[in-house]
Amino acid sequence: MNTETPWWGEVGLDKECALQLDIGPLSVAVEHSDFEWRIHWQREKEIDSNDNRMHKVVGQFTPCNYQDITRYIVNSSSRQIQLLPALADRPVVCRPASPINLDAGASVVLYVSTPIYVQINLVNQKTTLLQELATQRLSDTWFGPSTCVGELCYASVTSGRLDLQKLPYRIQRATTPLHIHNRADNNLLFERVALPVPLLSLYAAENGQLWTQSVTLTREDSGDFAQLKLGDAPMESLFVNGARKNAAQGQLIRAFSAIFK
Amino acid sequence: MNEIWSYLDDIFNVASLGKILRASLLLILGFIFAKLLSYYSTHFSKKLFTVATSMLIKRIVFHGIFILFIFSAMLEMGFNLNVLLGAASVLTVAVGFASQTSASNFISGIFLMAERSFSVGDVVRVGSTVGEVLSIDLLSVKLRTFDNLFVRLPNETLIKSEVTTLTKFPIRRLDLKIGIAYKESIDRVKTILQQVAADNPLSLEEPKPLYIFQGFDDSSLTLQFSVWAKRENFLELKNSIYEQIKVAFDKEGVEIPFPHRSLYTGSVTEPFPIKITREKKEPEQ
Repeated sequence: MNTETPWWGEVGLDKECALQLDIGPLSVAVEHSDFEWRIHWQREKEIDSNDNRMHKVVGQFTPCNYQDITRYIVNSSSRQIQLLPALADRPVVCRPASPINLDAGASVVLYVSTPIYVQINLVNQKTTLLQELATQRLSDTWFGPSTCVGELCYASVTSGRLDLQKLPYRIQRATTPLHIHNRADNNLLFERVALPVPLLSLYAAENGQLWTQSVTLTREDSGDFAQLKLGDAPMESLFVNGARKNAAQGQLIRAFSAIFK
Repeated sequence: MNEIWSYLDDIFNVASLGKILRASLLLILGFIFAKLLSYYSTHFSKKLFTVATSMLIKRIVFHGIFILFIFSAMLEMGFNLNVLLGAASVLTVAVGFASQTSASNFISGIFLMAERSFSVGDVVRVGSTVGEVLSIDLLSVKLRTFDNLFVRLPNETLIKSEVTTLTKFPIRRLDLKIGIAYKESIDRVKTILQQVAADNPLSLEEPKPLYIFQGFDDSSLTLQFSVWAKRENFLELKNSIYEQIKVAFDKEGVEIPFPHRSLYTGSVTEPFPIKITREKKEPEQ
């Protein structure tokens, strides 16, 4: 990983030039011609979603052998495009490989990671989003007390690591420190936790790893409600992209069943 | 001739002209007032009710107010409303007998709107008709079927029959009926099916896919495998998962049997004796 030049940022593309970016299983190519931008993309089935593949080329070539092509006709002669990482557009339900039991009064910090999206923006007087692609297509899932009440989310399996030093470097994933406090009198057994990633912003650490603010989930005394609090930006990191949705004052009270299961 | 002239003179004398003017003014003002009030009523009702109900409220407000102004105008003209109301009640009975079906549809329409089992834009199934609701009117509900046909269903029919709203909840369950050969291991098939569901991103991880053993049928073991999907992805999942199950079964060598029948001669081990004979042709005369 080249830490000096992250894959995101603005790129100038002359006419008949293209940019090719391979990140994890996703391959995307942006082609510029007269008043037209063509975005080619595909997800490589053979490449593991945890593979730290990263390749970025800018030059005069014609992208070929892509699964999907979308053409954008624009009323602008701008040659600047912007690549940005973003978090998923729905909450991600993280399922630890095995259920975790949290004792009454105990607290823990779990590091969970979620796959990122690549946003391709056209930069003119204002920035226009051309396309957004997920590096990994996560499975849909439903999170709620019943099949009538709940929310559509993405499902992801997490190792739920407790040790920051043991966190592997993942170029195509963003890591969230998840603080869980159990203030109830009984144990908290959670098999899944819904991480509200649309409320989180993205930051980059020095080594290029993407981070989000921390999320604190506090299970209250009664056990019926959970307090969700978004933390500040991670230390020694650069802001990369904002949250999709605004959290009201960064603190939310939600039904316990809307966060834990 | 003189009588006619005197009659017209009576009508168009100054006093009568004043009455006519006042009545006309009442009608015009009533029309404007009713329009304004019905327009503003929709502003409030839209927030509380569905589009169809707020349209109904708008019509009731307009017609109610305008009819009151019409009565006032008639009183101003010197009409005796008691006679008119008496005639109207007789007329109502006659019209009521003549329009029983319409009245029934009208009442059913009000119940349908109050019940809110579906609204404009929902997809409903009534009998064998499946379509998107275009409008819920006083007498009928209009649907657009997926082969782009316009269907009008009387409200009375909807009240009496079973109506399924397909777009009420955000997720739906797809029930797959799968037959496998008697020689196959059910556990192995179950594992293969669960893997197929896990690999398909449209199949929801939670609620978990449901597996039900349906029974021993004539030619196969019948299983029900139910997967959940986001409502909008239902058809896409249906198409993709059947194909993926077929591919997975072929890869794993799981047989999907076709109906077959075994004939026994009384003893399981011995086959039918087959004798091939050639027919003798009779010599031509």
